[in-house]
Amino acid sequence: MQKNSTGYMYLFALLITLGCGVLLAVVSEATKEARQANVKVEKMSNILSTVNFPMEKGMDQAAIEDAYKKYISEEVVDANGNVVDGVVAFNIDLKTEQSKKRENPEYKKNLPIFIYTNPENNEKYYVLPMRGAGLWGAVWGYISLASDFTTVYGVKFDHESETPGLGAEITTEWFQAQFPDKKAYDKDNNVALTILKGKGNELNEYTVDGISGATITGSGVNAMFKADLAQYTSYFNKLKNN
Amino acid sequence: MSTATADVKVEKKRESLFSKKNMRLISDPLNENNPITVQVLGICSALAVTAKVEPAFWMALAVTFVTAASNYIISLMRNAIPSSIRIIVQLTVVATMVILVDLFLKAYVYEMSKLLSVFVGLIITNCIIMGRLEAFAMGNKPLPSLLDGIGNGLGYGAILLSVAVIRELLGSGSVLGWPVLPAGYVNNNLMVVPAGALFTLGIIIWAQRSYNKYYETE
Repeated sequence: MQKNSTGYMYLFALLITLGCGVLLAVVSEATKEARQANVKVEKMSNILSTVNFPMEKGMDQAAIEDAYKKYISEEVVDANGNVVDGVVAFNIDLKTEQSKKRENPEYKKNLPIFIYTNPENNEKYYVLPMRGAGLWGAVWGYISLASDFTTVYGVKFDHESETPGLGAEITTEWFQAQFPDKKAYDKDNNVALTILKGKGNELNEYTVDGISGATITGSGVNAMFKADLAQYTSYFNKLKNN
Repeated sequence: MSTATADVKVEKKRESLFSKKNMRLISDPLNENNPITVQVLGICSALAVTAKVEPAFWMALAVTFVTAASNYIISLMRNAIPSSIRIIVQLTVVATMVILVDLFLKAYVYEMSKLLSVFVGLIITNCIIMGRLEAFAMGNKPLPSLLDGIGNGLGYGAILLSVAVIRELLGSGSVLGWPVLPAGYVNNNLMVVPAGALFTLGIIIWAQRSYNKYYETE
């Protein structure tokens, strides 16, 4: 076949695409387990860090998994506060739950809760996962509440593609350190935790300073608080009344 | 006796691989023909991932692998590639290598893959790689192409690491996370932001060019 003929060109393109495709498929399959394990352990360590579990830097995967299994129990509830059986809280993907709800408003979302029991005083902390939209992409995080179901114990935020130095600052220590001891819900059980615009605001028990230049990311996180924390109020009410 | 002759043969072969000409393929891009400071290619990632030494190291490693592997593969196929679609073929190969690196980082160096994030994927657009494929691999045999790829990757990496060492030292007072400067040192925030990389890189380019007496000709 002539090297510059159209037929040869198509054949060559087909072969190179096939070759590259097969190679990638093989490598992707071969590394799948290791990649999934990384994501799983990251989620576990995020949940543990929200409840201030003492984690050393460079703690290995097995140690994190052990700590998670030992101290964290999981529960799945629905918006009415009923416990849902047969669903593993850890495997629930908030993104799929949210898109199922968007497609079908009747859909009852599975709401995962991670409960940490402090081994020293048997105090319980409730870790709630959240997911919303920032300026450029998704934002998500975990918030842990003390056993009064409203006092914030710790938070951990992450994001897909917020601007470094602006919106991406939600992952920084100084920003997240503002949250402990704030109240997530007001007296009427409405979500009240709010990030204000910019720094140097007059703060009360529900508000924290925002990031200058990251107002939209801040409102995205606020919307995430409003939507996702409100879902748990019935469950918490049931626990309170028991 | 026979083993001795075999040894000689092997040595001869080796000599040709490590000949002066081939060695220049590796050493040239390190200094006289450095892809970043002399050809001013690959600036984007040189500014983006050099705030700390560790991510810069992994980025340099990733780029070296991609340039070397794609140079080698393209050179193997150089006589078979139809010229009308050669850029597409090159891109396909480069993209495949980049995804391989990305999968590897995600599986075995997860922390780094999070830090480097989009910049691993952006290696595809690094001009050094396409530049070497077009300028070298399309016209040379596989082994010299491999060496040329390694040399250019290392030349890129050397500058990346120099910028990163300066930035981490002045911006965070540490190198590879270890505190180096005395406790009283006030971190220079300019060095942490991309503008700091621009200044550092500019100074390195100026210093290297005046040392080599390299001037742009008209």
